[in-house]
Amino acid sequence: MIQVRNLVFQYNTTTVLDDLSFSLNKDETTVVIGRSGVGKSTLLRCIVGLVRPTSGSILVEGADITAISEEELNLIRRNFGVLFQGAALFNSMTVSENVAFPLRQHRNYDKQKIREIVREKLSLVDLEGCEDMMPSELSGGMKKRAGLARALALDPKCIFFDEPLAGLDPIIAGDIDELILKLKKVAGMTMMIVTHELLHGFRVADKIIMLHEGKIIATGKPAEIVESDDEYVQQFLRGLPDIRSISG
Amino acid sequence: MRRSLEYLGARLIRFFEATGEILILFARTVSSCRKAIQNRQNIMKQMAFMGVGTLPIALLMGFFIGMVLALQTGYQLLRFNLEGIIGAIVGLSLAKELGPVLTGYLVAGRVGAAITAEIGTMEISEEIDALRVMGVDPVFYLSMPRLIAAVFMVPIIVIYVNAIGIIGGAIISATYVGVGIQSYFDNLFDSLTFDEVFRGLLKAMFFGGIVATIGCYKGFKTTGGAEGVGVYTTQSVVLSFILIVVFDYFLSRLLL
Repeated sequence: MIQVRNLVFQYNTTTVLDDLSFSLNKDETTVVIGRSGVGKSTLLRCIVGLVRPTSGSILVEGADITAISEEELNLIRRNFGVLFQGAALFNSMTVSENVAFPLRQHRNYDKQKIREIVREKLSLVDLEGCEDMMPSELSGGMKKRAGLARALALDPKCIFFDEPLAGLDPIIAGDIDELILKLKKVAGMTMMIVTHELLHGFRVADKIIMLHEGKIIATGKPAEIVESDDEYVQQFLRGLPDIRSISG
Repeated sequence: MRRSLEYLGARLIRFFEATGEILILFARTVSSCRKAIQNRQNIMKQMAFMGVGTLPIALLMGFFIGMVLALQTGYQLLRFNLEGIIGAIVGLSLAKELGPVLTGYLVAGRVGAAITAEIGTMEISEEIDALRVMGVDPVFYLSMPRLIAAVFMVPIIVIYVNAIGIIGGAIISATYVGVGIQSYFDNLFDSLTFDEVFRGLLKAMFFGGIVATIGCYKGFKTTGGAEGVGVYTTQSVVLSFILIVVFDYFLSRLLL
């Protein structure tokens, strides 16, 4: 569904992403892992068109989104749903208004139909009864669920998660894991999850991509990554400290 | 020496970059006005915030400006037995200069700061990114309603400020300067033409545009968390003040 080809992203003189090529296949969940600051979120932002890469191409169903106008990109983005790290709910709107927002912008549904869809999406993420709450009244986990309901509002073909478990306790994080697995079953959509939480990543992934110093150093099914010969992959999986940083 | 030149050069480049970015944002905002009807709810909301919300304090300001103006000029005019022209002086000063400029300042402080703080907070909490990935242009959704609301509401506020200022001036004129209300208004209407009031309102439209554009620009540029919101909000108000003064001179020359 999405093909990334020779993607390079430079910030000032620093190369954040260095010649990345991979694809996000239809109905597959791809988890991008790697240390904090390795460029995972930047990669996600490139794919959803929030930042333009320095070079390379990103093909979404054949259209190169790096070479099209913002207006054309907006049309393609209607097939995307994104759950941001902090959920990015609109603080001036209630939960139901947040979920209804993309529908009001892009669909000519009447109020009744919008209300039904909002109820359905909130039920999918187990947030029934929270329609009239403001984002400031929600806990971290509830915010993520509400953000997910909004991301699902337009029934996107592809959904992106940026550190979905950041700032959540292990039990709530487990709930979000379950929710992602439920979505895989119910909605059957292409997913890309950026995380440094290994347990979570391996639990939900069909395919794992590991980034290190801007490059892909391992890619494959979770079992293949576990058996990787790469020294750094093993160090990361076992959570071993960086010898150089200790001795340095 | 070389370091100073490099510093100066970098500042100059930054200045031209910022000017370009502001002009591009303004052009994109104006261009998105053709779809204004689709965003009418937001436009109405902004009009209420800018107009209705600002009016009470604007009226208070206008009333006291009118009184101070009559008090200061009246005192000087009395010395030369020229107090009969006080109505013209208060009316012309308010309509041509003080009404639009001081309302522009008031709107910059109240509305411009609120625009930057709101958009800046949205920027740092990824709400602007969320808009973009939902296929909603932040310029269309956030800038356009604020520009339209400011361009229409600031002149309307100025009309009220002028009116209440003239009334304040009349009170002082009658009680302190010794020029009766009738004489005050006769003199005022003899001197003040519709053209002059209109030119003042035209300036007010420009000032509204400046406040909205700078407020949105600084909001979209906000980085650095809560501290950044404070910094950019201050920058927004200061820059709006400066641009209002500069544009006031050039517009006055143009509309003289």
